[in-house]
Amino acid sequence: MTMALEIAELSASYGQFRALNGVSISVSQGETVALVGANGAGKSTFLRILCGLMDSWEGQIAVGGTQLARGDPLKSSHLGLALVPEGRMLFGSLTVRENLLIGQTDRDGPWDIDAIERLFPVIKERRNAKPSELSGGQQQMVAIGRALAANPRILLFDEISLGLSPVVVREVYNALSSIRNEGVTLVIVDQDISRVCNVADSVTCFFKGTVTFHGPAKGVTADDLHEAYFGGRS
Amino acid sequence: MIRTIEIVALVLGAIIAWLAAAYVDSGLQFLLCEVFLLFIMAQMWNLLAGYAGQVSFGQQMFVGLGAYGLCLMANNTGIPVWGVIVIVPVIVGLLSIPLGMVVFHLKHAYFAIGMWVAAEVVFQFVVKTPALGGSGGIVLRPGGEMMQGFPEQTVLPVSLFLSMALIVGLRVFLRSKLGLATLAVRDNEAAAEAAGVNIWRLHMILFTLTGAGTALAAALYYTTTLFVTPLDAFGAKWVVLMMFIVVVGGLGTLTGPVVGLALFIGIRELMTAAGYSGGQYWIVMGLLSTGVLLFLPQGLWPAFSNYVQSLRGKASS
Amino acid sequence: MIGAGLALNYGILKVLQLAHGEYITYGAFAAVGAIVLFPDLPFPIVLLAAFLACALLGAVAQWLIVERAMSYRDEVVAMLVTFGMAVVLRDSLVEVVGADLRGLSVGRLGQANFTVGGLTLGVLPLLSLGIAVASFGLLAFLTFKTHLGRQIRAVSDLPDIAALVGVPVKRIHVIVAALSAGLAAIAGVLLAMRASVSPFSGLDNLLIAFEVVVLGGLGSIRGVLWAGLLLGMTQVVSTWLDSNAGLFYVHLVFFIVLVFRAKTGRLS
Repeated sequence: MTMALEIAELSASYGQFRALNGVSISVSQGETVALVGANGAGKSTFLRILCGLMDSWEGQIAVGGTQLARGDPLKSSHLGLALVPEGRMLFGSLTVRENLLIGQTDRDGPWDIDAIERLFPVIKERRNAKPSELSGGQQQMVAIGRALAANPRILLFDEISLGLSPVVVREVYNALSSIRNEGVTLVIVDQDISRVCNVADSVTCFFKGTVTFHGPAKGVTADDLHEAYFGGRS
Repeated sequence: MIRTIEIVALVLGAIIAWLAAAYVDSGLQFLLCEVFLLFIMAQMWNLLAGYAGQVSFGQQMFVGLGAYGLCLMANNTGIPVWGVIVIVPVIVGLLSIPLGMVVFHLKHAYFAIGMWVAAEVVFQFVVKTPALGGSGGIVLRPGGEMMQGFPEQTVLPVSLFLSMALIVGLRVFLRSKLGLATLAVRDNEAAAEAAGVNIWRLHMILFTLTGAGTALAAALYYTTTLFVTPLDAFGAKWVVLMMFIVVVGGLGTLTGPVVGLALFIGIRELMTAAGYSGGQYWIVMGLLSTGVLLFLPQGLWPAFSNYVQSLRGKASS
Repeated sequence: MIGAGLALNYGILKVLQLAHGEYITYGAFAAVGAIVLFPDLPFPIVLLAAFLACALLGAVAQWLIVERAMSYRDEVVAMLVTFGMAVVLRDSLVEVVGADLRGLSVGRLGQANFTVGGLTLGVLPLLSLGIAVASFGLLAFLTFKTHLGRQIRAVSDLPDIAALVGVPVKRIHVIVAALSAGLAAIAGVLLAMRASVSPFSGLDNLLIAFEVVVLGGLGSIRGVLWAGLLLGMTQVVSTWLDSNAGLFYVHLVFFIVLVFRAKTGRLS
């Protein structure tokens, strides 16, 4: 079976700073991966590379068996990648509904506008509002909706709960389980390690640009992760 | 402070200037005057755009002010022309302070356009003011008399020496505290400000200097042409030339404008000699600068020196 | 009208298109040329031809040149490249058609007028106004009601994210450049109908376009309408008070407003 994501020896740097150093990960289709690590560990860089938002990297990345193009977000989109970016990044001059419409692609899948509006009823209620009129939580739901509208094969979340209230975080995580049931591969970056590990099948921890832990989410102990997170063990 | 080689360069410049005045024939003198004065103007634009990071589309204002300052003061007072040429840049420099206080509120593209509009305002004002000669312009008549002798014989050595002095001066300046601050601001404005550089004051100094320098070059230039019209003196062609020379040669480098200028004058003389029209020359220039920007966006000189360095690196390794 | 295309271009592409003034001139000359070649061509066809010719020019320039310059992520490079283009375009035109002034003959339309309630209105200015309003209307419809418009606005907001959700950003850039140049062409035709145009008028028109766009707020189409009105009124009033005014007061008004706004911080 082809893997959803197959990454070998991925390295990347910003000028002198080496953000990723020889990262190799495989993710199978339908798997949910929790990606954790301290600030600056390389999680966001990793997602940016997958999305084609960064072009200075070395290594091999295959998405569903196809090589990923360097620094071409449009190609990434065609390969079935979608991102729920940190800070939401909604299109400010488009209404909520237009933000969903623009996310649509010609890929078939379960996520038409109706299905998304059932998942997040608030999207239907505020369909003609501009993103700036929404709360942070509502914006996050629109951002997830926009990504879902593409019917992605792989959905990436960067800092999924950053800046959201506990109530909203719970709602977002509830939505995640419905999204998982549709067979989408999820890669979730979150600071709330225990919560993200609860929904994930496997956990990957980055430390200073390298993978310090990779294993099934079930049975991961706090100690395992603690050491990986702070670089205690190689 | 100043290094021996730079003193040697200055002395050499002075000697060449003296020789040029004595032995170069008149036609070539005109051409060389233009070359060196354009060089000064281009270097002024470079100082503002390449080092201070303020791209201006309005430098022709200083050209016009220099030209009109020259004619008005020489025609209406008893001050000899060469005295006027020294005074005019000072006045223009002083005038540019209030202008700077106004336009410095504008950033980036707004600054460039604001300067252009300011230049246009001055231009339109000159055109509609009969006392300034209106659109017909004025003839340079120092003290009411026609200009005597051959001004280019004096202007050439002066501008040649000034060009040399300008390079030396800029080198010294860039080593000075103020120059280092300028470079720091160019590389990282926020960090430089945090380190205690007063950016506003720094930019004002550079703005004033470039205004005065451009006016000086203009005053010298119009001493050789003997008359000035608003369309010519305030023409956008000045800033276009400065931009092309600097950008093709290499923005923010001292050598770049030399390369750019050599290329521009060289191609112009060749094309004129071969019988091509001015319009065709500008088409070539436009294509050249577009091409250089597309393929070597930092300009010819930096690209060349990088290439040489990489060759050296290979040779030594 | 002169500013609309430029506002669109800067709003979406974030590049100051210094060749815009040349597009205006080319539009005018395309119309003049069309009429010289086919004297019986109806006016709407002439307008359309000018629009299409310039749109094509703008699209090709964007596709081959500006797009590449934009990839350096330094707005000065892109700006200077468009300036090089402007010079090439202007002098190529001079080489081909000569430096003479050209006017667009509108026949009796030029003098035609009618009286409503004691107010005499010329047909020509009304026609110009009508064309301008219609263009704005179409542009607004395109931007706010169509899928293409949605994509254009998305690219304007966040180009990277837009590409990631599947918007073909480069194609959108080319379309915007084409639209922008086409609008410039319409402005050029309207100018040529009122007064003759010279191949050298590009820079002057560019400056006025800049002023309108900067006053109206970069990238805002409605603001551009108001700014155009303000500068137009300034021109009319100052010419009435001082027959020798030229564009002096227009530039002055612009400069004062600009600095005032910068000082009060209402300039983003």
